[in-house]
This record gives sequence, structure tokens and C-alpha cells, in this order.
Amino acid sequence: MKDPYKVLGVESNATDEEIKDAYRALVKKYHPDKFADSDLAELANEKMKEVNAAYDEIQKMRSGGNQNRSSGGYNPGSSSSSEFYTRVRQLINMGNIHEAEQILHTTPQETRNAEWNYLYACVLAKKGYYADAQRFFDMACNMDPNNHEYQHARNMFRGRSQQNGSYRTYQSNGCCDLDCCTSLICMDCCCECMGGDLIACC
Amino acid sequence: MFGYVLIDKPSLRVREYDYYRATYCGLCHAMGKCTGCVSRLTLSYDVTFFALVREMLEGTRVEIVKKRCPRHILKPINTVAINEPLEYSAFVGGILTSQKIVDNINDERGSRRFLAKALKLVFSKTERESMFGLPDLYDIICEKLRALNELEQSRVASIDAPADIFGELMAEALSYGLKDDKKLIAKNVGKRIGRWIYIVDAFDDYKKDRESGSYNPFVLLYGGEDFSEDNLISISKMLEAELSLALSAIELIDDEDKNREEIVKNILCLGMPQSVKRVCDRLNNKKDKN
Repeated sequence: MKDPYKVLGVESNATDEEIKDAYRALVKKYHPDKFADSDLAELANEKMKEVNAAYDEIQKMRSGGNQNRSSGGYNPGSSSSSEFYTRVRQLINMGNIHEAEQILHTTPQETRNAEWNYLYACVLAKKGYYADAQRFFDMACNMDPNNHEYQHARNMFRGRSQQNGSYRTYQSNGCCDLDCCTSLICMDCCCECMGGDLIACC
Repeated sequence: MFGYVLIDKPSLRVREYDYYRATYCGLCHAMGKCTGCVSRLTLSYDVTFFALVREMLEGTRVEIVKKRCPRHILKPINTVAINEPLEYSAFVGGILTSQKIVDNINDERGSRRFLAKALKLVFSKTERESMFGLPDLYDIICEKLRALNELEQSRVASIDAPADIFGELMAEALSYGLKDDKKLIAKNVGKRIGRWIYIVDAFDDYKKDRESGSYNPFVLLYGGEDFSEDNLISISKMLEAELSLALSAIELIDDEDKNREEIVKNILCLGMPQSVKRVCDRLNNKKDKN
């Protein structure tokens, strides 16, 4: 089998978000809808399978081979959840955000656990309240740091809000302006400590 | 038929533009080698695009060298060293050019016909060489052009019928000698691009053909009236659809050469739609003046 990272076109040290992004771009590229009436459908389908296999492979490798891939976002039944939360998940999945939010609000403050925070964050994210959603994702992760579902959702969410709408992403290998200035000032301070001077005016 | 497949220069990275120039120059050298010096005068951006896609399909690794030529006589410039896809594209360009001249001799009257005949003499070597270079493709292209000609003679009131034949011609030209998946992809890309070129050309020649009475499916379809805003939009949409199908097919090629991939996408996503827009604007402006 081909190197899964190569199939997705990413470096082997890429972050989870980068992998997710690359995966999504490829899924879009080979989407069966685009080849509905074409004799290329089969070929595109094969490519899709290859990409899916590569993505699964990477997910498996990264989670230490003992956890199944949660297919992005929430996954009903993947974690132990009470009937109440199952209902909320269903509502979110159906796109009934308003009702899900109302139900969540009925939970008393003191019994709001990690899952509550996570689901509430999902609701907020759907509503477009990205900053608030980020806060609740963080809260959920802090309350239950070992839950992969929450971690994964938070990372994905971060990745998405950073890279939205960029036609081309340029990677700069050098340091940014701030780094450059700061290091100059630091060097100046160091020189002055030693009795010398790098930047004469300060 | 020529002159619509262009890059959108401002959106290219500098290194991509350099690569494009180098391919253009490489193609020119390949034409000199394959179809004779005179054929270099017919070098076009359209055939350059053809060469780029062909390189993508064959997965060619290009080598860039510094070369001098009559136009860049003082300073050698970056040029893609002659490779198989470039040679092939030179032959295809040669066949298309010589056939266009034959077509002109048949179509034109008077002094223009005389000019076309003179051109045929000038490009006789081009025709000969391209015919000997790829005899079977030469036959295929001639046959498709004959079918197209017949259809045009019958003045069929459909844009799809003649466009499809031209699409098949391009599909054959682009997929010639390739195998399996690549052949399938090439056929799809060629078909879409061919159709697009034919439609744009007919679209662009609308006013001219309406006055001269030459065959133009749009004149027959729209009864020789000026295009309304809605017509223009629906035709543009139709052309967009062809391009998006071509793009989906091209995206199935995994090209290691990212510069080449970006250029081809730039042409498909920006350069060619801009040509359509230019044609639309031209049709609109003339209407305003009337």
C-alpha cells in the first residue's frame, strides 16, 4: 500500500487539522456527484477509496491503533451518554438547533458536565457563535481531558476557523516581523549587559 | 478557433509564469524541429495549453535549459527542453494549422482565397511533416473535420451537434497513444475543451457570420437578433459547465509538478472564463452603439 501521508499530499508530521483539511479537499475533488454522468465515475470512486483508506490508516496510527475513528464532530453512541444527551445529539444531527439549545438550558447549572459543555459548544458553533463555541469546547476538554471526541472536535474547530476562505495558503518558513524585532532588541539588551551596544539609540 | 485559451497572468505566481513562458518557448523549439521553421510562426497559447495538459497526462518531468532563438537572440532565456509531449503537440498544432488553411481555401472567395492559397504554399512543409509525423492521427482529424464540414453544410440548427464533433476531435488528439485511465481522462478533458472552443468561437463570430451569411448555429437558433442579457447569461453558464467538467477530469491526474498543475487550473478557472467574458462584453458593446 502507498504511504497514506503521500496519498493525502501532506508531510508525515502534519497536524491533525492539516490532515483533516487535506482529506476534505480531496473528498471534494473526487466527489461522486461531480462524475454522475461520466465514464470517469469508476476512476474517481477508486481514488476516493484510496483517500479514505489513507485517512483511516493515519487516524489509526495516530490514535495508537486502539481507537476507532470518530467521523468528525459528534458521533452518537461513541461515548457513554445518558438518554438526555442522546436526545440532544439527535436534535443537533437533525439540524434542530433551537430545540437542542432549549433542552440544554433546562439542565441545572451544577449538573453541567463535560458532555453538556461539548454539546452546547456544538450548538453554538452551528449558530455561528464561534468565539463562544471555542470557550465551551475548551471547557469540555478541560473537564474531561481524556475524551478523544471532544479533543478532536476542538482541534477541528480551531483548524476551521483559522483557515476559512483562503484560496492559496502560503507557508512562510522565516520568522515574522515581530520575531525579528524582538530578537534584535534582545540582542541589544544582551550586548548592553556585556558592555557593548548593538542598536546605538537604545 | 484559436486565441481563447489564455492564462490569467495577474493570478499566476511568478515562478508559474516563468514556467509557462518556458513551455511556450520549448514548444516553439519543438515546432522548429518537428514541423519546420515556418510553422513556428503559428505558435499559439492554445497549443501551449494542449502541451501542458499532455505533459500532465504523461507525467513528464521537464528539464529547463537556457536557449537562444531568433526572437531572443541576445540573451538566452529559460526554455523547456524538447520532450515527447512537446513534439507531439507540435505535430498536432501543425495538423490543425494546415487543415485550417485548407478550410479557408474552400470557404473564402476572391483575394482572401488567393491569400489562403499562398499560405498553403508557405506552410506546405508544415503539412507534409505533420502528416508524416502522425499519419493515423492525421487521418482521424481529417475525418472529423470532414464530418464537421458536412454538418455545417447542412446548416443544422444545433450548437451541440457540431460542437460535439469538434470535442471528439480534441478528445482523439489529446488521448492519442495514451492507455487506460489516462486515456479516459484525456478523452473527457479533450471533449470538454473542444466543445468549449467550438461554442466560444461560434459565439464570438456571431455578428460576423450574421452579416456574411456563413454558417453559425447561434444565428440559426436566435434568428439573427441581438443577444438579450438572458441569452448571454445562459450561454456563459453552458460554457462554464463545460469547463467545470474538464476541471473535474483534470483533477483526477495526480501531477507531481505543482507549477504545471497550477497553470492548467489557472487557465481553466480564470483565463478561459475571462475569454468568454470578453466575448460577452464585445457583443454587448456593439449592441449599445447600435
